[in-house]
Amino acid sequence: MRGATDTPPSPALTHALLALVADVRQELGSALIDAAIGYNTVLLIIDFTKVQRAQLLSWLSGRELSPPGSTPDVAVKPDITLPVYYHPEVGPDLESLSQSTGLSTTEVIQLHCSRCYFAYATGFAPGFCYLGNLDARLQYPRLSTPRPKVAAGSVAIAEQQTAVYPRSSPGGWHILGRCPTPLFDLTQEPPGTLQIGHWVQFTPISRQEFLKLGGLL
Amino acid sequence: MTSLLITQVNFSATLQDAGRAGYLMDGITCGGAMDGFAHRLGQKLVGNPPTSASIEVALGGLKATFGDCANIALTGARCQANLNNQPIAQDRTVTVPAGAKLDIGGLSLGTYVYLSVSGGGFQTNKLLGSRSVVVRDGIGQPLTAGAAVPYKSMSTPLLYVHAPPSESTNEKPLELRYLPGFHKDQATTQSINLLESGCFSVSNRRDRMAIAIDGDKVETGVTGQWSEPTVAGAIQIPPDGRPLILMADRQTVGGYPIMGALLSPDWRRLSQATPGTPVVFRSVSESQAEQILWLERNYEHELTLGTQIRLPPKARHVAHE
Repeated sequence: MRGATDTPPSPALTHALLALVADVRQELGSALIDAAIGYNTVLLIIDFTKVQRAQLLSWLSGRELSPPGSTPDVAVKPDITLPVYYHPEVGPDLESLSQSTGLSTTEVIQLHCSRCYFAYATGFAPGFCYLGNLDARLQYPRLSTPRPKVAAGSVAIAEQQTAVYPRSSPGGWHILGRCPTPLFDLTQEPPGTLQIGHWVQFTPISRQEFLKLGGLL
Repeated sequence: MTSLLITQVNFSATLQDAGRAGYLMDGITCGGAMDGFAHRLGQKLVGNPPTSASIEVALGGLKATFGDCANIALTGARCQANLNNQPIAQDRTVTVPAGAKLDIGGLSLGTYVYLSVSGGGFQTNKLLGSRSVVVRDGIGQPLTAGAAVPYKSMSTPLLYVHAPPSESTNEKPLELRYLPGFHKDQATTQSINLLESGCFSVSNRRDRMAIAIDGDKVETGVTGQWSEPTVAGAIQIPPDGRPLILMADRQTVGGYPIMGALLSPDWRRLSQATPGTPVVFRSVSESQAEQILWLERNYEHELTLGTQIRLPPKARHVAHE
């Protein structure tokens, strides 16, 4: 079962969708097999042998989509701060991005670290979290040809979004640096460090700190 | 505990169960048997719950040696299978002595064969509540020669047979009934008509993630939408207009327009269909879908009714035939 809204994506909308999922989970118990949210949609996977469709629809229609309490669209402080070693050695697109933007690499790094990003959605790969929104000056389309292999921990940007690749995979985003913090562990509950609804900020670290924190070159 | 020693895999073989639920918001796909029905029949034949793990062999071709006695069943795609060089039947329990060599050969119909074993199924470690392997995401490993897959030995022969599933996947064309929705309201009438009247067939671009559909191009007219969670069986229309049906290992979010989702019985029939099989899309209403799914559940229930016969030791030769 899918629900959508015409409301444009915002942290408040994401919190409203998360609150809806939490309510449905409480109402349905084990009849809710799984749930997920997108930027402005919610997906509920329901065992209709345990709950009647009509009953659920009537319960859902009586519920308003609203965030719990007041949820600011700008973070007061980050939930998680991620260290990043920004350098062409691990950020192959740092210099070309500096050229396209007309900013120095230091300015690009400062801009990327200057604000908290909101975790709107997960997907693409386990633990991959779509964070937004980037400063307009850093917004560029994806690479025309995706790289066949992006290193685990790569910190990248594309359009209005930024993300960390939790594990090595193909990828078409511009890579600025690398984060030494592991973000995904199948043996942990939850397996992903970043969760939808988190505010995330990046902070620059040196090569030495990166290696000390367990970062791999 | 003993184990099944894999000695040869021709294409791909993975451990699969009923799939992984509850982790979509972590970006973790469901996985699980592509043909869940065949997987469940197999588990039933060896006395296991449907959540037990079987070995899913894609396109046939697996050789293995049993460390100790067991009861096994082969369901799903039709294959040439031998146990110690003697042909064995599918869709029934087969009692296996210690050290027996199993050879699953080529397929004559379908795509995925399931090997189920008694004693609760294959006993690999669960990750996030499931033994289903998702190769793309590094969740578990595919089986290769030399792998030892643990299981619990069982010396009591089981004898359980059911009628082979009445359907076959070579019916032509394969009807794919779907529940419209998602972006169908935004799609052009022309594209919906084309989807329901066009000529399509199963492409050879297919894996556990998605099955591509060859044939007419479907232009939805839907543009500029936000990525959203995907469902199993979703009919996704990428910019090239070639429909993709999302399968067990689908990506958890996607940005392409979705015309609807296949009903689960047709979705799993599609998983067994071979390239070139003609397909037609037909939309159904929600009440029709509920009726179809209810009938399907009854069919599966009836097929697996009947009591397992656990023979006393002195009558064991009966089970061996």
